Amino acid sequence: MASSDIGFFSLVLALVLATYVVVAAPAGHRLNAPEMVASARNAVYVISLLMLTALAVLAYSFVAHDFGVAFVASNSSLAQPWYYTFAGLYGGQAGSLLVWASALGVFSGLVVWVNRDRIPAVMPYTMATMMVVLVFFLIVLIFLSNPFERLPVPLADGRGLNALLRDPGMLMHPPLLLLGYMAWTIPFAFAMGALISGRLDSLWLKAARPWILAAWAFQGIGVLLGAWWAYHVLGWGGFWGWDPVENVAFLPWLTGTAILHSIMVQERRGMLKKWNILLIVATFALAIFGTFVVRGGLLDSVHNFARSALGPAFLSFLGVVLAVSLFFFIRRLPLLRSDNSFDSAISKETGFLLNNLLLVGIAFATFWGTIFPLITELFQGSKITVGPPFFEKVNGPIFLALLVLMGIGPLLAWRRASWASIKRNFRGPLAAAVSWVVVMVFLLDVRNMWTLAGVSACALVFGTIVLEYYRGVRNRRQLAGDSYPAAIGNLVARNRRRYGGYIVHLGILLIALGVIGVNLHQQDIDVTLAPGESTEIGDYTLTYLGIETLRRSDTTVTQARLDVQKGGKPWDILHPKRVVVDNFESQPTSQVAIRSSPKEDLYVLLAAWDDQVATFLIFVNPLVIWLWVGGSIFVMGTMIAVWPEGHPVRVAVPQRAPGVAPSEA
Amino acid sequence: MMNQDGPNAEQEAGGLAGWYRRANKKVLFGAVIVIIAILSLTMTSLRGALTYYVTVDELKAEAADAVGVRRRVGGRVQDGSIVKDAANNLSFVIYHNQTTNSVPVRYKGIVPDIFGDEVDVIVEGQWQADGIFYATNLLAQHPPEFKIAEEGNPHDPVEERDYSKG
Repeated sequence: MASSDIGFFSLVLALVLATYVVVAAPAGHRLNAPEMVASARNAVYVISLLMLTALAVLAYSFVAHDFGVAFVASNSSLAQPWYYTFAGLYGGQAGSLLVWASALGVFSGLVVWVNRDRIPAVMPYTMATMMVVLVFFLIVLIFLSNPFERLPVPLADGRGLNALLRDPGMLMHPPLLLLGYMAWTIPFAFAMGALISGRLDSLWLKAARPWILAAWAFQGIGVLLGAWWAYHVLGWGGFWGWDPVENVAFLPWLTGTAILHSIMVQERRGMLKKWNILLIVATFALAIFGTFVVRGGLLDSVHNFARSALGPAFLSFLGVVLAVSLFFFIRRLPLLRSDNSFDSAISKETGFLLNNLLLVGIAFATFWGTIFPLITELFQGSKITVGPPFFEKVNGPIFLALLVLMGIGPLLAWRRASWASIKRNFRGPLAAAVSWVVVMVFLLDVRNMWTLAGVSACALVFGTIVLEYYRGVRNRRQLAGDSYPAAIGNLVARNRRRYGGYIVHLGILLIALGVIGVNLHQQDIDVTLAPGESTEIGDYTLTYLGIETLRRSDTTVTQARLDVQKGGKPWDILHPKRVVVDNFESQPTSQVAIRSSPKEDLYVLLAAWDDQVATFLIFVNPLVIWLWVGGSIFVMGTMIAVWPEGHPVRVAVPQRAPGVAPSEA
Repeated sequence: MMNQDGPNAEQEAGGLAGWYRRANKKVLFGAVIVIIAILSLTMTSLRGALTYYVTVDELKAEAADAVGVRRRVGGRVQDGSIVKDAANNLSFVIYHNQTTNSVPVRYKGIVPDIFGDEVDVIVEGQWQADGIFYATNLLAQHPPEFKIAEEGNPHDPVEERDYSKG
C-alpha cells in the first residue's frame, strides 16, 4: 500500500461518516434523542480530521515527489522551484476540489463546535446541510475526479506546475477563491437549518453572521488577487477583462455584499426576511456555479484549466439545491412575514434596499452576459461572444449609482430621514464632492463626464466616512474624555462592524479611483524597435537596449532591456520578460515590467522579437496603484469587521425609539 | 414540525394581495422603476455588444449583409499568404478547411507566437466593401493534439487575450 492510499481511505471514511450525520442529526432532533445529535456532532469533528488528513497526505505526496500519484505527476516536477510545490495542490481539478472539500470539512467542525450549545433546534439541520454538500463533493472526489489515483507505473519525473500558475499572485488567488466559494455553504446551511426547523427568529442569523462576513472576505480577497495577477501576467494592460471565470468569481461577492447590507435591516427592523433567505440561497448557488464553471469547464474561457465529465454532476446538484431550498422556503413563507414596513421613502432602510437592487442588478447583468452565449448556442445554434463593452456599458452606470449611494446611505436615519437632518448631514460631503469637480475641471483639466462624476462621487464617499468618524470621535471625547487616538481605537473596537465597514468603503472608493484611471484614461502604443531606437508615451521616452535569453531552473527566460527617461531625465531600466516553462512550450507567459508611482504605472510587455527588432506593448495606466492600496485597506477593514465583538451587540431596538440619531447604524 | 409555526402566522391576510396592501407604495414604485431601468439597460446594451462567430463559408454566404458588421471569423491561414510590410501591417488569407472559400485579412497589432502558415485562427473585425476583412484582433488556436496533451486545455490563455481592449 502506498502512502497516498491513506488519503483515499480518509475520503471514503469521511463519506460514510458524513452520510451518517445527514441521517442521524435530523433524526436525533426529531426523535428527541440528544445523544444521537451529540454523536452526529462528534462525527463532524472526526470528518474534519479525516479531511485534513486527506489534504495533508496529498501535500506529502507532493513534497515526497511521489510521481506514482497521477495528480502529483501532472502538477509538479523535480526541477521546478521548491516554493511552487504546494501550488500543485490546486494546479488541477482533482486537487482543487479536494482543497474545497477539506476546507468545508474543517469549517463544518468549527461551526459545529462554536454552536455546540446554541440554537439546538436549528443546528441538527445546519449540520446535515453542510454534510449533504460534503457528501456531494466526496462522491465527486472518490468516483469522478480522484486526486489519489495511482499510475500503473510511477514516473521518474513529473510534468511540472502549469506555467500560468507560476506566480506569487497565483499562489494565493486560487486557494482564497476556493475558500470563498466553499464558505458560502455555511450561511446557506444556517438558512436551511432555520427554514427546515421553522426557527426563523433572529438567532440563526446572528449565528450565521460571522461566517457570512468570512465567506465574503475570502471571496473579495480572492477576486482582488485574481485582478492583480491578471494585471501583471496577462499583459493586455488591464486587470479585469469580464472573462467568464472572472465574472463567476465576482457574482457571489456582489450578492454577498448585498446580504451584508440587507441583514442589517432584518436585525434592526425585522424586515426583508424573505429577501435575505433568497439572497443567501442564490449566493450559495452562484458559489457552486463558480466552482463548477472553473472546474467543470461549462464556459469556454481563458483560464479554464480543466474540462471534465463533472458538468452534469454539478448541474444536477445545483438543481437539487435550488429545488429543495425553494420547497422549504415556500413552506415557511408564513413565518417570514416582516415585523415592520417601510415608514418613509427616504430612510436607511430604503437606502439599503436600493443598495441591494443595484448590487443584484450588477450581478444579474453580469450573469446574463456570461451565460448568454451558452443560451444562444443551445437554442439557436449560433456561436456568439459578449464582449467587455457590454459589461462596462451596463455596470459602469450602476457602479456609479452605488458609489453615490455609498456616500449617502451611512448618513440617513433609520425609519425616516428628515429634511433638516439631510441638510445638516450632507453639507460637508457635498462640499467635498463639488470642490473636487472644480479642482478637476480647472486645475487638472479633466473633461470626461464619467471621470468627473466618478471622482466627485468618491469625494462624497470620503467626506461621509470622515464625517462619521469625526462625529464618533467627538462623542467619545465628550462622553468618555478619551484622547484622540484612544477615541478612534475605542470607537472602532466598540462597533467593529460599522467602523470596519467604513474602512471597507474607503478601500472601495480607492479601488474605484483605480478603475476610473485605467478604464477612462489609459494610453497605449505598440511599437517595433531595433536596438538603440526610442519611442515616447506620456512623459516617458523608452530606448530599446537589447535582449538576452537565460535559463532558470526549468524555465527559459527571454528579457529585453529598455532605458526609460522621464521628462528628459534618466529614470529607470525596465526588463519585460517572456517565460517558457519546460513541458509547457506552447504556453509562454509574460512578466510585464511595471514601474508604479502614485500618479500612474508605466507598463511594458515584450510581445515579440527576432534577431533584429523587438515589439513592445506599452501602456500608461493612471492611478492603478490606488487599486492595490484600496485592496489592502479593504482587507484591513474586513478583518476589523470580522473580528469577533468583545461584548454582545444590540440586535433589536424598541418599536418607537424616539429620535434615533442619524449616525447610528 | 408544523406545530412549531408561529401562532399568529395565519391571522393577518397573507398572499400577494396582503403583501401589496401592507407595502409602502412610494418605495414599491421606486423599486420597480430601478428594476425596469436595470433590465432595459441590460437588454439594450446586449444587442449592441454581441459578436457572432462565423466560418469563412458563412461570411461569404452573408455577402453584402456582413459588410461593416462586427464578426469573429474562424479559418486556416493559407500557405505562403502572409505578408508583412514595413509599418507592421499584416496581410494574409484564411480559408475554410473543407471548401475552397477564402477571405483576405488585414491586421495590425500583436501577433501570437504560434501564428503562421496553416494555423487555425480566429480574426475579429469587420468585412468591408472592398472584400477585405479588417481585423482588430487575431487569435491563434493550437493544433488539436496540443489540447489532448494538455489535459483538455482548450486554448492558450495568453494567445486568447484580447489585446485590442482600450
